[in-house]
Amino acid sequence: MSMTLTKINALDTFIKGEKTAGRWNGHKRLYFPVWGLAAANAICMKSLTSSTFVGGVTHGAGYIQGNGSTGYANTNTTLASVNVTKDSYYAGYLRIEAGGGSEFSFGVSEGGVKALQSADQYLFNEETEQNYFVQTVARVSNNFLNHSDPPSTLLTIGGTTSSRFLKNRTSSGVTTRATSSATNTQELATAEFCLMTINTPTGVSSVRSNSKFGAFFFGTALTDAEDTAYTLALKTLWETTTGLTLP
Amino acid sequence: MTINTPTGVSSVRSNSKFGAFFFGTALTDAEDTAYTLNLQNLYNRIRFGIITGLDWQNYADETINYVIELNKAGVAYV
Repeated sequence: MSMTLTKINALDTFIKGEKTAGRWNGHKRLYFPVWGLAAANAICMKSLTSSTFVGGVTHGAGYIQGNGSTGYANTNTTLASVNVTKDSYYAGYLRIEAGGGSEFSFGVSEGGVKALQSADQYLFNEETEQNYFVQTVARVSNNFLNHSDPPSTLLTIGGTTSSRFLKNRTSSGVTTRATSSATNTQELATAEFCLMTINTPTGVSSVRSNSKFGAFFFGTALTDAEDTAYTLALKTLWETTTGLTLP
Repeated sequence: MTINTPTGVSSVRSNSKFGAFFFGTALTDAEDTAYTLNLQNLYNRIRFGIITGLDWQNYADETINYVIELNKAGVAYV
């Protein structure tokens, strides 16, 4: 995918908007893999550092897609290294098509995949074959989303010590899936954050996603209102840049 | 692109592509690091500005830097 004046202007509108709204500094990693090229898709829009693609990953026009077996990307970044903590965190993705596999199996986990019964902390971890536990951070408990619920979505989690949310945006608007005010006492996982798989202290999980993604991001906490504004801006950027529409 | 000597210009000539040449009084190690980064940024902006014809003054630094990195990674401007 080439660069055009329209796309540069869309990027500039998005970045200036995030800066003006005071959200830009909170974004620590923001991957926008729409360019159809691995080297370009690896670049973080915020830090300009690069993630590392491993295995089978398709770089399509407007998205990347793992193959469900070998493909993933490592951001080479731990949450702690960019000051993302249990008391201030934010993460999410823009998914344009669910592959029918482990859509939520990416991010970082202290206890490994499917270890939700422990007190460990997660950002995006698979629970069962059909239901997926998107967030255990601070016990926004039992927030299961089916992998096709909905297949195309801009899903976000975020929170502070005692205020957290799980939301998703589609063409219909924003839906709050869950909230919690329970006090969080568990630190976040320490492995480097991965995309399309879960990283753990004992290595990268063999569970891999085969969904199509147009964006991944994490950073420090956004408020509920900030999240709503940010996801709208990101949706607009993705749609303007790709010419596609988030269903 | 060649060496000059007291007896004349050397016949050894370069066919590399250069975007800048410079010399001056000493810089410290840290000053060199800062200077070369500054020069690199200037070069990238000028070069991509020429390619696109855009007036970078209208754009946020973060936009410019990201677009330049994308260009270096193979996303061509059309």
